[in-house]
Amino acid sequence: MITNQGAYPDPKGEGKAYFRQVAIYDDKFLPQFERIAAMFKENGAVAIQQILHAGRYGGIDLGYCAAPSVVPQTLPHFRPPREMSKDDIKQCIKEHVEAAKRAIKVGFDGVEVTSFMGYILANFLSKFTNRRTDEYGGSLENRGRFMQELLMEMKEAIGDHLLIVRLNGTELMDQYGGNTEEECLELIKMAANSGVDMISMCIGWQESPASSIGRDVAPGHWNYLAKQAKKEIPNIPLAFGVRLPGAVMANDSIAKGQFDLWEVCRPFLADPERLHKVAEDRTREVKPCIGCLLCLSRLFRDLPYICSINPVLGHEVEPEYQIRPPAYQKNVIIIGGGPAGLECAVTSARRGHKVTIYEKKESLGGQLRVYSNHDLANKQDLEDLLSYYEAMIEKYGIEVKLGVEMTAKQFRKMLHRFDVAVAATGSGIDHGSLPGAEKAVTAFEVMEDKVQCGKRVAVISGKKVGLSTAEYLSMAGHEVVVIEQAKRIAEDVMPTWKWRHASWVEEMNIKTITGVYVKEITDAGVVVIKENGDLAVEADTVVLAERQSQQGLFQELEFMVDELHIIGDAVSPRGLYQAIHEGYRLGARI
Amino acid sequence: MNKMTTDIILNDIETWRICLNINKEIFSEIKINGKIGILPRNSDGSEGSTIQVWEILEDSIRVSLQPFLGFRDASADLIFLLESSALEEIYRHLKNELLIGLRKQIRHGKALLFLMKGRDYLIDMGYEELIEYLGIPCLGTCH
Ligand SMILES: Cc1cc2nc3c(=O)[nH]c(=O)nc-3n(C[C@H](O)[C@H](O)[C@H](O)COP(=O)(O)O)c2cc1C
Repeated sequence: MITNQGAYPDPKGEGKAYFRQVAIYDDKFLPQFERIAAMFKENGAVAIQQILHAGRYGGIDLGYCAAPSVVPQTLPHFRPPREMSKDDIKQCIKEHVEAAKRAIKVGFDGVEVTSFMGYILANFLSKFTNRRTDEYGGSLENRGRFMQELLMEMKEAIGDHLLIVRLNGTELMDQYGGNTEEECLELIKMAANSGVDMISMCIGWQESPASSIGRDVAPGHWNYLAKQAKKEIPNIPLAFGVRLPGAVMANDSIAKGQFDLWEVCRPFLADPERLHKVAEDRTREVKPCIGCLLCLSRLFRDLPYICSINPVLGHEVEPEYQIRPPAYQKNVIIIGGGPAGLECAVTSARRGHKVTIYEKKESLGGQLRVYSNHDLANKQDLEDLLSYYEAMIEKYGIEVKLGVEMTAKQFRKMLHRFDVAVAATGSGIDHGSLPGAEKAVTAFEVMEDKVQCGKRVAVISGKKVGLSTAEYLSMAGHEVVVIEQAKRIAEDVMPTWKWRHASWVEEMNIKTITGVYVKEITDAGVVVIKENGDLAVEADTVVLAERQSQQGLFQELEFMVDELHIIGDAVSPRGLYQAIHEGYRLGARI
Repeated sequence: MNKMTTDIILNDIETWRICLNINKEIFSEIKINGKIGILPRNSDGSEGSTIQVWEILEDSIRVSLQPFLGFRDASADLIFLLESSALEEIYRHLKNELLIGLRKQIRHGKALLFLMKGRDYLIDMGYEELIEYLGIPCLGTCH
């Protein structure tokens, strides 16, 4: 069964959740939907169209959003709410019914309604957002009335076609006064009695302060909620899969009777071929979804979503992103076996080039491996990614030379062996001209457990490397202070992950000093310059964590090889997604 | 803490005024006429009937009490809805740790920040820095 991305059903756009969301409020959109339904069905899938009226998170092109009551937003991204009248409710039901009929008309086997995540029906279900005093507010039964009326009218309109509703197993909105897990369960039962053919269960609202689908949630964490719901609705199929990226675990959960269908979103963005690979016993070749949420970070920036792990997502039809054989086979040397180098090696080898990776360390993975060792979120995600690359290296016969540091001198001995050289040498931490820097250690040395730190540690840099190092040290029992020149910490962290570092920093009592310049490192710690004078920060160990690009080798190799490229952090220190994307884009065109 | 103490804290506008004005650089990016409200949350989850409003003036902050008649009629741009324990905690550290206190209470679920106006207006009025400081991403989130 494939459910097509939620389409908003109203011409005003009150239901519209994000820039470029598909609409289904008019017949003029139907030719595209018809093609999608046909494509799903030609490939043997049951085709479902989701209808998504975003309610509190809608009206994205308007100055307001439609809601049961005026309960202001808690996130600035969303529009101030306007209370719906009973006529508005009737109209909303009508628009859903019309949208459903349109989807069925062009060949979909069924439709799915969104009654979760803080969308319109969920806003009525919630005690937090529904303050109405009419028959649509108050008791659980009243709050569920809009959903029930809508489902029943839709079922009547689409007859034997499938009607699915998506509901929250938990809203994670308790501290705002939202529904409890027990109330969510009651609402699932209520939906089950409203003529639906299947229930899909989801977790969290967009405003939820807690994690629901991020990397810090362990795969399978939410299965207990599906299990509870399944007990209550034994006769209605239950689809579930939030943060359940692995087919093996999903199969196991189904076998245990926790739910009936595995529902997958982001893992398919990371690897659309995952089902075929699993079916063909090629599980190691599946690109894992690491739950990094780049996809949703982009959506909130009004940008099309992309995937860290799968650079092709959103560019499938562009020839520049396709894997095509090269004009002739080239000998490619990749210097540096971090994510940028690995992705470039695999992509160019897939196209038919002969590839050799030189890595100065004894293992591949670069900083990804270093940080996966001490990852606080879920290190398995990062390890799965590394093992994917290892599998691809084996599959495509990429030669790997470990423990060899490539220098210009060494390369000169190999002249003419390679047609293409790629510098993927990553970033470094330079002691630079900071007075006293020789007394400090680097974040890389700390994360690789090459140095011992004293009790009190000052980490210079509140960006992602500095923060990860500080968190690791704090977990290991050190007293840590982070010193950052910018006004805030986590400036280079992905929007959906900034809060995570901020709360870890707070939970671990890591002190932060921001908006200061480091003047010098002394035997007693660090001296920083503040607006009102110098401040001495006492520390037994000072850790340098500000990264710099490493372009020396790239520059030295000029005139030594036909094609010379540089990718990833070696260009400028950034992160995993940029490394993988640059590696792919280069590999696809060498 | 009982209702009585909540009222006493909220009504002590002179202490709030002095402390806010000592820390007025916190609000230096907010334009004149910007208004921030402090609203107690009753133990049954409902909102209190009086809101304390901080209004940004040219070179000071005015503190006043106003009846709270519901979100629809509220004039503030931002409203902090505070459980009584959070209000007490913030009041106790008003002089030195107002913002840190608010951020902590938000993170611990004892305070909610309601954004009464749209994002563009809030950014134009200079609230972005404050909102981000409180740990609330101006460009949305979903995790
Ligand atoms: C980019 C993106 C777009 C999404 N769009 C929708 C949508 O239109 N309707 C919906 O019900 N869920 C949508 N979701 C949520 C997913 O269906 C799913 O519940 C969530 O990603 C967690 O499951 P996963 O761990 O399998 O990704 C979207 C998720 C992402 C990442």
